[in-house]
Amino acid sequence: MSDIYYSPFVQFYSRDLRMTLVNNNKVKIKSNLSLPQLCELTVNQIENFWPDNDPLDIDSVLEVGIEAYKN
Amino acid sequence: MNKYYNNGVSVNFSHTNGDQYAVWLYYLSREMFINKLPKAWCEKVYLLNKALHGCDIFYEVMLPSVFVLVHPLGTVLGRAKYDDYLIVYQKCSIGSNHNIYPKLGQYLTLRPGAGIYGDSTVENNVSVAAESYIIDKDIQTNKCYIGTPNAFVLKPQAEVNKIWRI
Repeated sequence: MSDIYYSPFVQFYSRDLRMTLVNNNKVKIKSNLSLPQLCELTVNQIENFWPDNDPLDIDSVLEVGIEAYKN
Repeated sequence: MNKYYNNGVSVNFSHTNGDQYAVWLYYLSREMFINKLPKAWCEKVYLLNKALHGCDIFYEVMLPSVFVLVHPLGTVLGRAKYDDYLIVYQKCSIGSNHNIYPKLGQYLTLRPGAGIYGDSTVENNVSVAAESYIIDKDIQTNKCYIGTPNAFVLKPQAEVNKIWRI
């Protein structure tokens, strides 16, 4: 458990998160990967699937990945 | 409490939980699309989700804020109007009929193999039973729909799915 995020990302998964949703607060979520690691994993998987001339830029993905995690 | 998402102490996210990772890939592709990243990149993330989890949730589709995918193999979620507390199992479809898409209310549960198509309005707290489908039909609130357009029953459904109970 390397990181704790404050996000309603999995708000639907648990009683705690549903409480959070109702109370309109933010919650802690534990992940075994940090967000940069998660983005890097996804980008690497994509590169393995489609090793073409248009690779994803990890920094751009991370930037929106943060928003994805928040939302 | 769902043990896959909460160990009793904290809420967890794991990239090796397919349902969670599928949601992550949808969110990521959606955010990339909203933030105008190259379309080819959005498509790759969307396709990765399809390849890994067998679900088709295009990045232009706006899923609600609160939803859960339950082993969504073979599930296709199209451009309907969605609302919160959506539960979708495997082999489910939501899509158009004559290019018209459904409007879906809160607390909709699609059991395995369920489908909703076309000019259908589904009100709050509706379940569609396994292998049942709705086409161009309105379903009123608090109902469980079982069957097909030519042979169906509507059973009363008093409570929302227990997964949402606090």
